[in-house]
Amino acid sequence: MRTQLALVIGGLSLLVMGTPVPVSAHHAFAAEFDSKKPVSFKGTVKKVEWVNPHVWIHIDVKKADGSLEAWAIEGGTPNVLFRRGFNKQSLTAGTEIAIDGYQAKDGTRRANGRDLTFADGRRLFLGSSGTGAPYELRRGNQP
Amino acid sequence: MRTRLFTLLGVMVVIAAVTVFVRFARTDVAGQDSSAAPQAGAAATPGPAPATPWGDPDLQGLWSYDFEVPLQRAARYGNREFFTPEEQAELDKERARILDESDRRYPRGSEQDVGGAYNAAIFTTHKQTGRRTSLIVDPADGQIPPFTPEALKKRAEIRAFQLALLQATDVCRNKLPGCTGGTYGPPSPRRADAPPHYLTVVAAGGPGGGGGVINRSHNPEDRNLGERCMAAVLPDFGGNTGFFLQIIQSPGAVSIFYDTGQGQGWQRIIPVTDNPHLPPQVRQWWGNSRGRWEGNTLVVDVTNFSPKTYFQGSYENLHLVERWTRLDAGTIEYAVTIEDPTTWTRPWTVKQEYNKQNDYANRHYKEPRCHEGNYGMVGLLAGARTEERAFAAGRGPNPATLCTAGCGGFAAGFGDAGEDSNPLTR
Repeated sequence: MRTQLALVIGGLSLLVMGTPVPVSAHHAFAAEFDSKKPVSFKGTVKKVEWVNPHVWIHIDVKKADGSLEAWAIEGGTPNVLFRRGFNKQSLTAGTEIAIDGYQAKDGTRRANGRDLTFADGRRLFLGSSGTGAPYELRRGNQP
Repeated sequence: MRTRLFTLLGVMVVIAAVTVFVRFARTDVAGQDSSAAPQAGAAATPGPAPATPWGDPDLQGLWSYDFEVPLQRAARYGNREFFTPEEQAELDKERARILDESDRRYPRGSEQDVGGAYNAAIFTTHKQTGRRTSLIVDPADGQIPPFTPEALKKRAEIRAFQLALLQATDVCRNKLPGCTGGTYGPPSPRRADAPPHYLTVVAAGGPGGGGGVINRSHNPEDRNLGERCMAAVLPDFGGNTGFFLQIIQSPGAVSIFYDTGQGQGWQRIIPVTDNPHLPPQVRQWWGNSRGRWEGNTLVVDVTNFSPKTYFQGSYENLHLVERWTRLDAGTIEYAVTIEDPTTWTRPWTVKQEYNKQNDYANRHYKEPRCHEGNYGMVGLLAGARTEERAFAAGRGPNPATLCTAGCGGFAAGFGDAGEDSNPLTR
């Protein structure tokens, strides 16, 4: 059921007639990142670029020989992250995070951050609070 | 000299008289409006609609909408304009159930998983269900009127081009929703063609997967307006990433900053004037606005849109008549009549309620501009060139068989059909 559902939910347009007209720069990640180059590693946050249309998280990844490799991870949109309680203090320099994503097609050390987790396993985004209704309604926090 | 002085004094007396009259008139209107039922959901903030020091109705401040209302009404509600409070609560419960399970993804390693990129949860914000069953208040069924034959023809031409470029990909092989109307086949010779019309958004051709507009990245104009940081439209009813208006007035002009999309906002100046519109050969991205006060309401006539702008199927012939009315201290009612005889068989009207936001709480945060951080555009064009080189060198697949636009994978947290689709639009 879950797999079927996962297959069904794709192919959906943000711009289907009948929904409020969305204005979104959500781009085709499949154009930028390579489905044949999945990446999974841990890194230490150097800085976060809090920019539109997407947040970029710059990290250092320690290689087996001890040298550091710089990667940039494309994240969500600042507005939405902010509404979800994710702000400039949420991911400070020095924090260790794990990345599960796909590398850029042009071979540069950029990746999309499909799943980001803290060292202790907490999800970076899904665990955030302050999402706006109806999430909070469900949690009983609605005023 | 004396004559001019008398003329000036005379004009000042007239202005003062008109100002007093307008103030009284506005008090009456405001009194009626504050007793009316709120449109969207919450109780209207009490207090009369204020005026500027020079006597115009005061629309100034930061505004947004507090409730989620679909543009078009779900067919099962017929001509019914409002939900009951019980229905609102039930809809929120159902939406919460679906959105709470939003960590769904395509199989790892698939183009759809890359296209989905993130949990929809971190990309969208959702608000409580409003009282209205649709933003559209006219026609009575809450639906956008049918397209004209001319508009249908244009849409079909765009859709045929979209499908031609998708036909050799997994989207068509696996019969995913993005390939609706198309069939799987070899790479199309049309892949080298110029598009039949200026490319705007994937929906310009009808249904289709999210991202991109056609499955090709020869240059930035192959990509959709959103990817180019140019997706802001007028009229703007908000969207999945939020929406803010900052209105500032001066005598003779109303300016609105639309903070919309992902930093795709724009500054709008509405001259309050009797001057005619710009000549028809002058076309502007957000049209040409001319405002006037009718009692308590700012009425704005907008024409002269560009053939490259896109609103729900309409391009340069879009004509808007907007009515901005401050109902009370905390509420603006925005009503817009939308017409384009080349696109729809009749005009239609949308009503949205804006709620005043806290100036102090929002004093620092203005969205950084999309253009400044749009590394994604460079990345996706570089990705396309890399694939072409690899194919030419015999090291990779034909780029025409890969999906980079219209492939799907982003669902704003909802499924496209069945019990997990958005109950507000199902």
